[in-house]
Amino acid sequence: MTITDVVGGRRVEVVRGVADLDREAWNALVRAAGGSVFHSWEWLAAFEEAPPGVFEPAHQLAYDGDRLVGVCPAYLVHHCPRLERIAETAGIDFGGPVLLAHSLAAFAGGPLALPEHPDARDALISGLADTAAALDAWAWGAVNLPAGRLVGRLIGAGYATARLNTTYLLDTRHATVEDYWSTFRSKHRRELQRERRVLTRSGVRITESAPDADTHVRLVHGVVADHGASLDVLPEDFLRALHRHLAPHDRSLTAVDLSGDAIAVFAAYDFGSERSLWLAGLDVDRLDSFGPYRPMVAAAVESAITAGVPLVNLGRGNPAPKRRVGAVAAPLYLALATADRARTALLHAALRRLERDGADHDDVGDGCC
Amino acid sequence: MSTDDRPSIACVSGRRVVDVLAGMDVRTVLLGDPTPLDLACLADVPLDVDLGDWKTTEVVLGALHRVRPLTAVFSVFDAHLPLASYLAERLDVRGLSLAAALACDDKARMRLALEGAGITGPRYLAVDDPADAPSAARRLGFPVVVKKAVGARGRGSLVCHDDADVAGAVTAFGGGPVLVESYVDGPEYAIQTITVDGVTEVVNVLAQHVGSGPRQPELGYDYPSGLGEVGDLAVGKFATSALRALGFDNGVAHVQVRVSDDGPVLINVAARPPGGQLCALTERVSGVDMTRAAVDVALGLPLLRQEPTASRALYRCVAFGQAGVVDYDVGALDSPGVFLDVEPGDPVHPADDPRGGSYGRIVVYGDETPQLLRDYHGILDSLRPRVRPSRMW
Repeated sequence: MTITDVVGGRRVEVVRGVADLDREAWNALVRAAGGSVFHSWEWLAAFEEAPPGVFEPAHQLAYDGDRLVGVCPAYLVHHCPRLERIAETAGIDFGGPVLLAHSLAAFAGGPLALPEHPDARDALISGLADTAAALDAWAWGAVNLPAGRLVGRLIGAGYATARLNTTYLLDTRHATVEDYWSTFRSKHRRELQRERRVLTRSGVRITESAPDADTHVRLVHGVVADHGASLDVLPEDFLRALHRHLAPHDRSLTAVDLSGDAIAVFAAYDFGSERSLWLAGLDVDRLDSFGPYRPMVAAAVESAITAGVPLVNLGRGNPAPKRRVGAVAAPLYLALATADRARTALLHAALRRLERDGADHDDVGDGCC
Repeated sequence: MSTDDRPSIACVSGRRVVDVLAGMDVRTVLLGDPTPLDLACLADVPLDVDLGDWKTTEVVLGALHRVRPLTAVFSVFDAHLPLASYLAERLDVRGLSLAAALACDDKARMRLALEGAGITGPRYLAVDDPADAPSAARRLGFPVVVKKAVGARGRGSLVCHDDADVAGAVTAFGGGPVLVESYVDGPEYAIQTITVDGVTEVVNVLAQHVGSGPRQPELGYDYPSGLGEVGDLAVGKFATSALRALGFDNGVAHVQVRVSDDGPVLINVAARPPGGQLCALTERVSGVDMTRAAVDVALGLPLLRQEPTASRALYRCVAFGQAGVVDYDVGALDSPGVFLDVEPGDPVHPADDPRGGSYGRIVVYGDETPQLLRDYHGILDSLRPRVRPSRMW
């Protein structure tokens, strides 16, 4: 189903599934607008194929005439373990489905627009409100919005907001790996070299390759379970679908032992100008701690510099080793609204509680990502 | 059947508001935690509630509202502005928008909202994990101002010149989220505003004097501001735009702006009447009682205005350069315009000390600056505030 509306002078279309999206046009827009893999058609396709809950796609597309100038992936969320945990922490009972742009599992969300059409983002946000009304959503909004003008405009417009997470970004615009490391103190470099030697002596090497789907699921679930979290935040089918759909963008790193068995993985994807290190996995039966973690972070950074990728998103949680490689904190926001004053006040109070009591949990451990 | 048809208002406030309400034909529900006995006696319905428990407060006030509908809920306390706005929105009565109240309560939120509307503020980085604060400061470039993100209440701000200063500020603010901002150099102005249904009136613009130390302590104010009519209009328009960006719809505000080489920069918005003796000053020079205005706006009443009784004001804070025990000549307290918060023998701290600040105010009014200066120095000479070093301090 496609719903067409005119919002703020823009034609906004609502598309109810990736099958109705022009994959090339969508991805080209995401790239041009500075988006990452989390806005890509492939991510949305995987999400739709094996959703970690019950989601109805309601993707928004903004046009200037016939030209696509903005996109905003969105789902009418009927059941989402992550959203339910947020609701529980925030002490709020969503009285019905929430139209969300788009996924708590991603590192980025909300509208994207071509640089020369910044107003398309406002049109897409207005479009979300209209779609929420049409779909009888209890509330609408966006999640994992980077701190910046859009969040500010939503605050000014009365949206309830909360800093939900912090992701860590690293500028990798260095001519060579050596240039990058030269910005660090020698003591710091020596520490890293020592950690790498220890890893090598133990027979572990880090390869730029993705494990097969079975291994990928086993290692990721190992970490999830080890943190005492429920696997429902990253169900097996969802991981497999992403593994398959995102294969063209895959830049994962895998740590393998002497026998060639994968013992740890960083699931990483290149899209546009960002490399996103989305998930970490570990063979928890063989390793009682993530020994290869810091060398793997360093290897990921070096790999990105070598490949000419200008930005690495090191993801949420575990900030210390990310700071050590020079990454900087980038807050991510949740913004929600309703059409009802009293109900929106409830959201404000709940998100305020969430920000004070429950935000910035470790990604996998608490499932609040 | 009740014959009481007075407008009814619920508030979280102190003596001044209660006195204003007592002088109006208004039914007052006073929320307190607990309500001080002297104020409870003046309110129609004193209500002791846990002000941190919004849900229960809503239930209790909602029950009263159903029996005798409220017209508005408001507060003039920074700490309780969000609660008052929450209650107003939940009960669907008049009050400051909750989004605006929360933005004024949380510096990061305020900066984001201003940025979203293109209102110039200091360059900033919001830091949830204090360990990220030094790198944030280095990214912005020293000097920076580190602010407690939430609940600063005007005392959570320190100028930092290096990593050690930043670490000290983070510790001083309890290790919670902070905002790291670029230091903005330039004269500061305080703008008093009244906003009714989203339309803002600038009541006055004051030149604000701040100290140069880490705490940038408030040292005094001058009216007129010295900017001239055009300059006042410009900073007033800037403040008005900032309030619009925050979603400020109904309330009074005290807005602080610095004028840098590049133009006005929004420093802070407090969604309440100004503190100290600035309400009295505003009433004298602008004919508007900002506390009364806060009540009138809350209730949707026309603003009460009077003729100004002075065209100039000079306001100086009583602060000290060293720690010790204060002394002064008590006879000077009889002079009009002298307000001291300490008794002889009380301990004081320097203005730059986190425990220190302003211990009183001397405010003089008139129509000529030379006379104001003579009056001020005359009071100061008779008061002779001084600090005796104390081994304790």
